[in-house]
Amino acid sequence: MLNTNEHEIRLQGINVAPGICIGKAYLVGKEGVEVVDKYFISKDNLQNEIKRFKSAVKHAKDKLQEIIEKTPEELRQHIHILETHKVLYKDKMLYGKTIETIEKKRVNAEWALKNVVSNVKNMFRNMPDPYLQGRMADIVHVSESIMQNLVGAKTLDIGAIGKRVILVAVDLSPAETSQIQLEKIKGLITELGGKTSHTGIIARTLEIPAVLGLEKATHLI
Amino acid sequence: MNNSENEFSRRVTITNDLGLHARSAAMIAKLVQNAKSNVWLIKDGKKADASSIIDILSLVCPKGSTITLTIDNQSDLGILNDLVRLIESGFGE
Repeated sequence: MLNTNEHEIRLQGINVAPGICIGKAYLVGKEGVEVVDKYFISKDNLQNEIKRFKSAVKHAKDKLQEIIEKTPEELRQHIHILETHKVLYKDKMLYGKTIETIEKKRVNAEWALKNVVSNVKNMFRNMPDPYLQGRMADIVHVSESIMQNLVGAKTLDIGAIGKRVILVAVDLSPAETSQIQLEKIKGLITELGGKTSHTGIIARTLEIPAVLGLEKATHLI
Repeated sequence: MNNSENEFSRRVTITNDLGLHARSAAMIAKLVQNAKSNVWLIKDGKKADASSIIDILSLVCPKGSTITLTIDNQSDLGILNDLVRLIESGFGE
């Protein structure tokens, strides 16, 4: 490697787990589902659309179960968060409401889910308790995994990362962070999150250096 | 069902430090998933479906809040009693 191309940037975020690490950045280009198409479903196809939604939920939930079973011993105490997510998948306010919306408005599952989630988001945003406001992240993680299954987007498989890297992502879900294998991940950088976020807690448990709340990290690195 | 309301409802006070947060709400919802009919949490006149974590959280019940649990079907009496025990035990925290 030639030194003439040397390039240095300094970025500052929230230190949630101390330490120094040097390594290649593994940029997690989150294939977030931001643009959702809306289309109408004919009466004859409504049941199929509901089935498609149910199967997306089942896949996401099965995948989470797999992650729970594979979670390393040192993270066992955090499993209750994943267990909570598992119950959330079938929550009436999310699951039931989405099916109801597909039926009543005769729209596709993605659009119905997006609408239901944005209603729930509004409800949480108005809560007086910051802890409860924070629970919105749980609902977002769960609904995003359903959405990814619906549109067939690629999901991040942290368990499959082969080399030792520093993970750089917008945000990591508890399901993602519990798949971290110490021998593969040297450090963590995320744009969202902070000291009390799940990613921060996991990083301290695993003693992996982590800087969170680093805005635009995935663009700058 | 209205005249039998007392028989099928219980008042409990939240005793655990974190109140009805995600984990405790999930424990309630899991228990209620086995109910034959609806189970409700009522606080200050606001009613939440006890099978939904999201609905339970929306009630905002910190430590010290008093809530009423109600069932629609008497065959869920066992679940009602289990819920009271769970909440009074502070969710094993």
